[in-house]
Amino acid sequence: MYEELFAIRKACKHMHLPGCLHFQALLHLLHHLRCYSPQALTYYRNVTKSPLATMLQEAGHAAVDPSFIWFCNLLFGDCDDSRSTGYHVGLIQGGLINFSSFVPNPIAASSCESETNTMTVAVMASRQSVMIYCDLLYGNQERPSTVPMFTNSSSGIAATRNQRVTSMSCHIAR
Amino acid sequence: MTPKPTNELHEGSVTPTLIDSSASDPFSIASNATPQDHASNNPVFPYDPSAYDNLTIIEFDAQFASFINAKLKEQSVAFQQRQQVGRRNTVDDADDDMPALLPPGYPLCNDSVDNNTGSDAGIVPPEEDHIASRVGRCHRQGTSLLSYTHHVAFLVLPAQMTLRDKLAVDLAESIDPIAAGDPGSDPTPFLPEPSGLYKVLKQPIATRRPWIQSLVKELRGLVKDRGAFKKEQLGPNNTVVPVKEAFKCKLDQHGNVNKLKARIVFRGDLYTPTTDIDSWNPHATWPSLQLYLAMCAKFGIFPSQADSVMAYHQVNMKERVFVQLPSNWTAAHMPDDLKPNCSVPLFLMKVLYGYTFSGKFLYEEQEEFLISFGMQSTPMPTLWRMHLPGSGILMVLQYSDDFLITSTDAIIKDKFKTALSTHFEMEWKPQADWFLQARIRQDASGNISFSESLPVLCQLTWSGPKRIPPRLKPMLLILRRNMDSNLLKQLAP
Repeated sequence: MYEELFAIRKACKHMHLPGCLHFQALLHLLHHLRCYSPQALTYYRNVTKSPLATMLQEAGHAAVDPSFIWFCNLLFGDCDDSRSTGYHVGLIQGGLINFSSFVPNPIAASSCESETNTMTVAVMASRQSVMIYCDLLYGNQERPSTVPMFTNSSSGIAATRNQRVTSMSCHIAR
Repeated sequence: MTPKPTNELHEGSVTPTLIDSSASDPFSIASNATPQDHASNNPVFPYDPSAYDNLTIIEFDAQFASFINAKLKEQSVAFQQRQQVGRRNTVDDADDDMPALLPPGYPLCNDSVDNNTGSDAGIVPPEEDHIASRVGRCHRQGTSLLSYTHHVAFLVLPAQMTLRDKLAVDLAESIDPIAAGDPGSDPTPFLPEPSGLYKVLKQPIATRRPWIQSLVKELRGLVKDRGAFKKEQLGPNNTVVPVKEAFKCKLDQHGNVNKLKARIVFRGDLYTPTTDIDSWNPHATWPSLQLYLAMCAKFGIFPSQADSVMAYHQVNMKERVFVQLPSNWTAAHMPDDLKPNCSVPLFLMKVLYGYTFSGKFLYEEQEEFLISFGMQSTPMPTLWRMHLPGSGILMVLQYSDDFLITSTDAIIKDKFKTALSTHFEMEWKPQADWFLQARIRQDASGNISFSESLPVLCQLTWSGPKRIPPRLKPMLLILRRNMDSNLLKQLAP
């Protein structure tokens, strides 16, 4: 899903004056979307029967509750200028509720700091959704609630686990 | 070919309408005229039963279809000539490439476009879609006529004939043709929409009349039903703000005309507000709709929808503003009871579209109502909730004049509906369909999904090739080539 989001963003940037290559890329993208439609805009009454729950089970995370979940991806770099890019996607009942793809600050080739920043943005976005979720379900915005978050940046996880200052850290192998 | 179908041809039941409307029509085979008369006029389609003895059903099918094709082609050519003559008599207008009143890619009259070698070959819509759209327009026109023509086609034509459904639609259209601008008619004469009344007045009568009718309807609604204007003496400090008209041709799901709409719009750009308040007001967004539907799925409920009728015109003005209707409206065949309102300063009682604070005033009224009903706001803008005893909930999502209402308790929902209809004039739909240009659906197991691909596809498929700007044409070509007709059917519910 992240890759498609990024590809769509990238294609949109060139669509004001498309050339032959851009049309080829667009064709490829449309074909991909048609063959592998994300099916993310469906909200399941029984979330254990959703594709998301199946995916989690296949990945060995059967214990995680799939009803409210957040994903954060930092693996992809922009092919044009090799900036690090961040994505995060929030899902309730197996359907998309919030997403974002952006270039985190500082602009660098996937340093630990930029990855940590991306995760922070994802957490901020998830907290707002949690607030509304708790307000609607329990009538209390301040009710403590934890959202499981999946990320693929081991450096980001390591940096958030300890108390060291990471502002000047350089690239850490993922 | 067995003589059985031809026997049926002569036994077909008829009504006077069918006979009257088909003097030179292929469908007059069922009339009381003798077969010999027809045979002398139309050697292509002999009515002598012995002529079919050596034909197979497929050959007969093809012959009959080609005959009708030729007839319809004749009619369409004559029709286009009439159109051109009519246009020469009118004032020379800016957009001179107005197409004829036939749908784009109409397979029976495409003389100018060579279907096999032309560059537009890939753009002609698939045949099935075309039939579907025409069936759709006949449905709008009246199901009884279509079912009647199907009945006639069933009686008259052989059962193996592949074109029978299509011919039944043709017959329905030849009996009761749809006038331009009616729901279900072809939108091409109305696109692009005229920018003002002066453009409308230059158009031929066929398109001018529906546009002016829509404008009169809007003005009458404002003056008579809503009481939006009041004649009052201008104060020394009052300035008068002009209004203008905006025209819009709304399309239905088949790409045909749904409604021709005119709006009387306040010239907000020529108006300086006297008060210094922020005109911002919250709106529903994609994330709020997504969260709302996710919560609906969690509770296992499906939203209803309430849509305001002329929403802004229901809101009272809170400022002292004078407007003036343009003087050229009197020339536009305006009815006598509306003429005194033109070119006179009028005190504005209700909010008009285009007014700086129209959205804000509407939101304030809605907010007041929702709070008085006992709803509470959430951190998500325009999402309102009320907790009911026993962990039930009433949720409302609001986008200017559209409401999505859902509740675990049907009685509370009914109460809300009654309260809402006493405050605002609303159209209530028990099952939500479209919200924020997205189609909301629920399947049998309670899963809710929404998609915005269908309106986009409809727009791309049915905006005729003549109307696409040249720089967008390759885009459309690629989309068309990659989009088979089955895709639309899959997307449709």
